Amino acid sequence: QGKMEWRMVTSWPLNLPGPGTSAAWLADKITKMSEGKLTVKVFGAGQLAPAAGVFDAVSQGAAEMYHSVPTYWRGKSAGIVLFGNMPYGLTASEQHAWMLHGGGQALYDEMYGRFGLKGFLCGNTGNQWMGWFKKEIKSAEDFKGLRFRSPGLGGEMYRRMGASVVQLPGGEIYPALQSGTIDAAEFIGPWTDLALGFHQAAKFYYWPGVQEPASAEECVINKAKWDALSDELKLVVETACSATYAYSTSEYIVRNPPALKTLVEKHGVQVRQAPEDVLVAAGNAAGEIMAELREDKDDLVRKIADAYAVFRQGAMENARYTELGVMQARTLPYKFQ
Amino acid sequence: MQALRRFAAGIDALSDRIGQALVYLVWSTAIVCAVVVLLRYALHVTFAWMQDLYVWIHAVVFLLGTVYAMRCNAHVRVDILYAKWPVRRRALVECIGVLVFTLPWMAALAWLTWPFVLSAWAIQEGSPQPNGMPGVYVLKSVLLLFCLLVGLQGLAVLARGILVLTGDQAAAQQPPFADSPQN
Amino acid sequence: MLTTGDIVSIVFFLSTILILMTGLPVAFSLAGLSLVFAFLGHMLGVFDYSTLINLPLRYFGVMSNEVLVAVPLFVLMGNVLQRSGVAEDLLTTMGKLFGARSGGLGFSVIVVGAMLAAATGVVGATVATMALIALPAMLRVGYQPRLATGVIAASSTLAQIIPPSTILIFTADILSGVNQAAQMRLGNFAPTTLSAGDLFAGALLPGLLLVVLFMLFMAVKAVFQPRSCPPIEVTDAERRGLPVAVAKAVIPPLLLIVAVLGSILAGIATPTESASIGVFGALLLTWANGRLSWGLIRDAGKGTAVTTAMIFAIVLAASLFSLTFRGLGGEHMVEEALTNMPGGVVGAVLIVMAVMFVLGFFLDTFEIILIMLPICGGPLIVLGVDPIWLGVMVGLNLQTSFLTPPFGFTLFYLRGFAPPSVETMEIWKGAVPFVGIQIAALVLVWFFPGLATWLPELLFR
Ligand code: NA
Ligand code: NA
Repeated sequence: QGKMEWRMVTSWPLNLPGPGTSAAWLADKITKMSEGKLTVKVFGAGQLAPAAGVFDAVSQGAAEMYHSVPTYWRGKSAGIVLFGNMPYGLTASEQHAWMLHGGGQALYDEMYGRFGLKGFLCGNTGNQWMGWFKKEIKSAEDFKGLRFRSPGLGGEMYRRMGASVVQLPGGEIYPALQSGTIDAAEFIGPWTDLALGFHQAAKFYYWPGVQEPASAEECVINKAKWDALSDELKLVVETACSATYAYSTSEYIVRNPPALKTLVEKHGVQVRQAPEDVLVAAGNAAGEIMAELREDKDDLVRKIADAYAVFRQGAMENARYTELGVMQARTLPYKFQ
Repeated sequence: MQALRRFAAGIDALSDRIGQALVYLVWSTAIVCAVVVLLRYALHVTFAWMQDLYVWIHAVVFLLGTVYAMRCNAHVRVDILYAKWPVRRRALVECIGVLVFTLPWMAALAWLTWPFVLSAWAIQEGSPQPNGMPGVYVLKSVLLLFCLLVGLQGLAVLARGILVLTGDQAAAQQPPFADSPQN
Repeated sequence: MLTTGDIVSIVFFLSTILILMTGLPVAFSLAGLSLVFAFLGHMLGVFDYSTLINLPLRYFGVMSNEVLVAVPLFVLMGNVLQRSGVAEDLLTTMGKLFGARSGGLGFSVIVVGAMLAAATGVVGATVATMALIALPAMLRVGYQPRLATGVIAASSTLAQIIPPSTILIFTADILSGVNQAAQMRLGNFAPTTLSAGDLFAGALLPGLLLVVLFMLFMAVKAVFQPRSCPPIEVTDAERRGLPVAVAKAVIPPLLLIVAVLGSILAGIATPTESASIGVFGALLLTWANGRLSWGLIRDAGKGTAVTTAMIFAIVLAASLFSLTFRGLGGEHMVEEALTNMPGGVVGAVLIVMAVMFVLGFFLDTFEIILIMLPICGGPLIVLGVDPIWLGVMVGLNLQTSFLTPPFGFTLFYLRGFAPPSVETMEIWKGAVPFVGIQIAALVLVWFFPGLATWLPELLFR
């Protein structure tokens, strides 16, 4: 077995900051770590397969691997979304923990095995923001009739709160917001949102992004191609994905604060915390969605949803005494330069 | 020869039926889209399935419309030379075109599409967006129907081409050798 | 050095043009030939067959592209308007309004052409109406035939560049994809997006510029060669009723144009949304003119299905062409060639425009856009060309090509509708000055790119 070249189709334009750059980084790492035995060539959305077609493309062997987000494959199975994100669900590190140590990967393998695929998570946006609003949000009532761009299960959550949820590709959000076709929109967080210019059309920037406490990216390989890899190369791919997860997730932590500073100081953006009743109403809507997933007609979806819910309970318990405690302590008034 | 004649006429009749259905489909696209707009701007409500619906109908329109446009000889041609050719030469070129281009395209497309449609049915693929149109597998299947119908209409062209080559005068008065009024 | 893949790509591109000349339906020969070359490339070891597995996915992508639904809706709106009597009323009343002076009928054709252009998305519909109504009237009063056909041909092609325009919808769809990819390569991670609305806004001023230039030409003709464009007799009775007649003919379609185009340019609605409302606005006009009937609804629907299918069959075929061309590595070769073009950006743009212009003699707009833009758009944008400007220039360029004798498509259309007494040579000669004007407009937009980029900047940024 000599040198191989694999095609990685992606759901992003080549090098889109965040997911696109992360895909390129992963491809580069696999190529270098394998010392060229497995060269990965990245294709932007539409070059071979359209953004929404990469799952099918790899499943049918049109390309060897893809880089995308599980959130897009709701149509394949409602259970898949939980490997990417869930409103009021796991954070980036918890998601990774579930996959690596909490039995998530086995369920992920079982689900993707149905489609002849083998996947690894390989990146995460971390905590997102609730989004950009033209008018202030004073209570959950303000979501009634609000024309809001929010995709995936987050969108479903806001729909249940009475919002008119609109699905638009990233590039079309700004014009829609500016023209008043929509009243509000959420994308990711300050780094990406500043680049897309939403602040020119809406001044109120709300947190926390409970619709996506985190959103994972995935690298998915055609199962037959995966099985044919040597153990060494399998290890290379798996390790590179894990490394990329850390690399990509941490990048948002570095890029978000200066972007937020620019938004506030240079563009006069008003940063607001969502009122508590909004968060409770949203949480109830998310709870409904989760309950439905746990009663899905597909055994495997129920199994995934149950496992996710159980893990989430444990993670919350853990966070309460660890992260939450430390985070709260960190905000107390003490001297620390 | 009689069998060829009957075959071509039969396929044309089928395509004419499709043509009639297309009228309703075209107007449905416009109506559903306008309703979505009115609901969104006047009542501030959106239904994702409705947004999917007019896109789906549009897809069916242009796929089935391709078949009907073949039957009407309405597909774009570069007829700088073609228009001046005697009908027998045109018939020969049409026959070669069907055998070398149309049928291989449809056969290859059907062969490539088949596994996608099969897997979509197997998982009862739904919409990627919440509350979107269920049954994405149905839409995907339309691509197979497209292959079948375009293939059949191609065979009708082939049949008529053979008739013209064997000296059938009536066949030369039928599309694609003469335009039919788009009735 | 050229690789085997490059050579196969070049032969592929050239044979495409040759095979289309056989007169077989373009979509089928384009797609079929692509498969032939995919097979050939596979045999020569320069094409990975599994690339083709992406084809159904690309087709599903077209089938679920919401933006493209605007195409049939604008075609339907145009088909309804064409049967609504609006164009006839406009031509008759405008003819009387301006006709009493030399050149007045020609002037009215330009005005009506511009108005119809702002209400319809494809060229064919406008040529037919104008040729059947305006041409006989002009010939009757003694217009020089070549002037009459020239002004009608030129005014009809305005439908393609003045928004709404189906061809601009596809241009925007392709350019927005290649633009984003190109901007990322340039390291611009916050690229402005490109939508059909942007391109509509970009094309509006160049379109109006053409209208003004056409009018100036008519004015010059009227002053220096009044015999080529004599006035018509307008009776006193007609003159008295004229203000009301003009208002009745002009105001309803004008309202429709303002509503549809206005809502797109004001950013209130997407082209698809506006078009769906425009369809029912056109129905309302038809009803007000007493022409609404089931027959009209059926004919408009069927005509729309056929036109839409013609266009999308080419889209599907061109998608297979691009996939094969990319699989053969041809795209990379084009990129290299354009990047290393002598004369830099200017040379690269010139060569692309020249190839498109020449192809415009033989091929349909949609074929050229769908074959050429995915290949050449990216490299040009990487070289620093503004995507909106590029889209507008391509639109203007192809439009010019369509008017250029002897092959110009609009001239073929017009030949079909003009009475036999008008010689083909006259139609060709008539087009020449307007081709000159179109080239002048191209040159103006080249040197004053703001003509294309200022309005979208103002409206959407
Ligand atoms: Na988001
Ligand atoms: Na137009």
